[in-house]
Amino acid sequence: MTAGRRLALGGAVLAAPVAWAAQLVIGYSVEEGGCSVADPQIAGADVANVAGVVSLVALALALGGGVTALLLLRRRDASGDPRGSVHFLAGAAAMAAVIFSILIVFGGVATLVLDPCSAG
Amino acid sequence: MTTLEHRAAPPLTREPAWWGMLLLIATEAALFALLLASYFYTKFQTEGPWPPDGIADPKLAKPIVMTVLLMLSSIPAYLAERNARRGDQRGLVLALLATLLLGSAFLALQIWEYTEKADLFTPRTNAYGSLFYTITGLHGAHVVAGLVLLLWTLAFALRGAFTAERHLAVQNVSLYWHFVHGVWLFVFVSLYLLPSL
Amino acid sequence: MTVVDTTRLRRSWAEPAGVVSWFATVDHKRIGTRYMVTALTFFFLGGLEAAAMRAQLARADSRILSPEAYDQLFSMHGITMIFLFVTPMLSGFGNYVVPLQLGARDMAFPKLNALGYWIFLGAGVFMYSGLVLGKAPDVGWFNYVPLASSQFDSGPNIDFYGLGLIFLGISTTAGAVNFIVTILKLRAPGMSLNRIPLFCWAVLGTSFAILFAIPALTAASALLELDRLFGFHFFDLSAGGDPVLWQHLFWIFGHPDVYIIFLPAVGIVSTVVPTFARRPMVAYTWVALSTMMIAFLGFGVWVHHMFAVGLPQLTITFFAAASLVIAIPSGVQVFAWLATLVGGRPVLKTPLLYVLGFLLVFVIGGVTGVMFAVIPFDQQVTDTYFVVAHFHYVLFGGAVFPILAGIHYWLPKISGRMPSEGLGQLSFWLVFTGFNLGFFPMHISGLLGMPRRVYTYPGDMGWGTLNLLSTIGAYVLAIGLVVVAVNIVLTYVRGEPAGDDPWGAPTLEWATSSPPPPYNFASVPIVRSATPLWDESSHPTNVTLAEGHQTTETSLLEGDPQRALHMPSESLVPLAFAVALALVFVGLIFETWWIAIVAGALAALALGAWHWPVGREREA
Repeated sequence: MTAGRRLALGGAVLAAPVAWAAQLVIGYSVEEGGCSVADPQIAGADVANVAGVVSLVALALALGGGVTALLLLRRRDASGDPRGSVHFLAGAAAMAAVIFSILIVFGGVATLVLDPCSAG
Repeated sequence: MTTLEHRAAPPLTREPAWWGMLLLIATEAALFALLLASYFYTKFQTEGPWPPDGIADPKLAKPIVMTVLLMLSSIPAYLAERNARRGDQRGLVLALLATLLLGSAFLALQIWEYTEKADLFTPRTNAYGSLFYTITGLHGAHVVAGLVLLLWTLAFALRGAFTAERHLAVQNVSLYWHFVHGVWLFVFVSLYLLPSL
Repeated sequence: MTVVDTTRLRRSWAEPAGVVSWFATVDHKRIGTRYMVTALTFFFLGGLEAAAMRAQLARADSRILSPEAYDQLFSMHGITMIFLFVTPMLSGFGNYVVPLQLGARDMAFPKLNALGYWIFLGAGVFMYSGLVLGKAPDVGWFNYVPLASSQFDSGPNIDFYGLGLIFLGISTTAGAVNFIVTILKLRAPGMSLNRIPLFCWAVLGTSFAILFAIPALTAASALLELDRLFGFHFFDLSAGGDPVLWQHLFWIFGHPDVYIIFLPAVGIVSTVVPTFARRPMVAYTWVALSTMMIAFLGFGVWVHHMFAVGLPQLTITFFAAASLVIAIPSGVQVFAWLATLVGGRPVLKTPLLYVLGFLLVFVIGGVTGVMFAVIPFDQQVTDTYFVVAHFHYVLFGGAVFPILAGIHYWLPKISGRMPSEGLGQLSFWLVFTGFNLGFFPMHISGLLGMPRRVYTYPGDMGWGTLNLLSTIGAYVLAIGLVVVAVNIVLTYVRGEPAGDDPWGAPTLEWATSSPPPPYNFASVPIVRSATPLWDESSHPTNVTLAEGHQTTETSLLEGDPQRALHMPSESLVPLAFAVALALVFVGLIFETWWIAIVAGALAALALGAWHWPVGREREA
């Protein structure tokens, strides 16, 4: 397997979970910080905007991982994958991209509808 | 093992113990991340200025010097591993010594810093004090552990125990030291830099 | 089958008989068995606590137990079952089975493995010494502040919890590191990622979750102990602290911990199902990935334990989304098991019976779990017996049924003898009936308003009959577990010899004798599929690696052999290090600092000795 393919494979596997983790951590901290009683520097609207942009970037990253995974699956190179482990990982990456994209969309839609700083 | 399929080994394969050290570092990094998250959580829950209760903003001069010392110390830590791989015994000893010196200087500055801080507040003053001393103290404990490991490795390096092929202890100490350095950057930014801005 | 001369292997791998060797062993099979025996002992103690509580609750206005004793019993019951039984039991299976399934000769770090066991034993004894002193933890297993702060609970009770869990966390973390490196680096040649047995995938996912979840528990406990022992203020509202911080830290650990408990159990199910359905697992890739994904997503759901705390709406949606989506990989696994069973020719032996019991009970637990998502319902039943019923269906159904399946499945390998099928089936029906009779009525008593953690109740509440039923069920369940124990003992005493592979199973642990020799495999096996024993082309090689303690190290992705790895021999140092660490915690609990400091120095010396001989064998 070439270094390029190895890199693409690693990126495809990691992209979606990392994107979701980033959305969760950044979104949560922005809100926890921005809406806190102590630190009114960021207003509610900004919190929603920041969280929305973060969600969009995360979605792009997760989908990018999915597309890379599909490309790797289509260009199956038997000589570089004697035991099918590359195919296995690419398949795993494609599935991860689907599930984490759903997750990111679920979280992201909320930033459009909900008033960010009201207590639930 | 010639009967086994696909025998060609990649050029640099890390030993299992190196992976073990990496995983230990991952779990320790999670511990620091959670403590820093607790710090920010408490900060956000506090009304009024931060640091609270009239504690002055942290002064930056000493912490900046400490940061520079620790950043510099990663260079000889890297060189120690490189020299060991080249079988350069003298270079290995010198690099370990340099790392030790820079690390010790950091520790000395931190003790000095503590003696000054203790006049302003202690861990029992309030939650800010508890968090400040717990986080910096835990990092300090990691520095001490790193220095002990460096001394240990140095003692064996002086006896010529490491070869170009096998110098796992050097690799692991070097990796650990980079971690101690990396964590400090987060501690410095969170506890010193942000409150002073 | 190549015949190899095993005398040299036996000479370098067999540990001498005797007391010293008993304390010094680093053999993963001996350590794994010890983990299981110790965990089952704690299961017995936790069961006794439950039996005492059920005796108390069998009728109204009972005074068998004082409120103080009852508080300690329900706290210790939870702590025992979660921390001292389920997780160590599954580590025991992992220790015994994982190296065998991978075709390795031991875990990657055998001495660290021994250390993990000794620390687990020490931490368990440490926490139980609180109960012996009548000062056990008494505010429940999740130990919320401020109730757990020294202001409201001044004795050493909570310190046994906080310090004990920090101590135990070292063992769990060491085990996780060991499993990850073993599974990634010590596989048989040819065992690429897509051929790893599903049980090993489950252990791998669990271990990664442990690596990032245990620090949260350690942090929470350490901050609590700093508050309690040294007057710090992390959770003290009057000095700028915040009690909700405890809840965050605890559930960052606590929810992933549900999956840490559940995943290896699921791994056992994925092992038993294909063997007894007599066909390879359907959708192997999906099940393997689902395992890893559940471990990862488990970290995104902790806030759902805190919906009642008053957090911002947006925060809640981020976490609610993860709580919903985690159902996808869980569902994938359930359908894969069903498809495997339907598409195969199932043989209804005891292990498979317990797996079917797991599926049924766990589905009921899942249904009541979904009911909590209806917020008004959640608020109605929170802290009632409905919740007790729900999590026993999830934990007993999700973990104990698979553990019982695993015991009956691997006992022939461990003991070399077959357990009695008749006693096995009898135990299943007793456990299954007793469990449902014991816990189903709790749903109803909960709906009727009976709060959890009350030591007794007045007679006019109408809860008497239901509680009597629960108590009878609990005792039937206990009888079922006694039958399991009797069956295990009888297997050793007079079971039929099992042979290498009594179930006709597909994975490598069945490719060696029962019980396995100290070196596991006489020669290095080669793997060409995920079910090597059902596959003509996977076979042992003539490579024996007989020069000293050696096993093969292979590459992470493809399982290409890289080199012969030298493994350490038995050593007393792990035990010495564990004892020194235990003394540190003893010093802390009695607030006698010099003991803690001296013991800490001894621990450092032991670590020095651990790494002393610079040579080929100096690594853990």
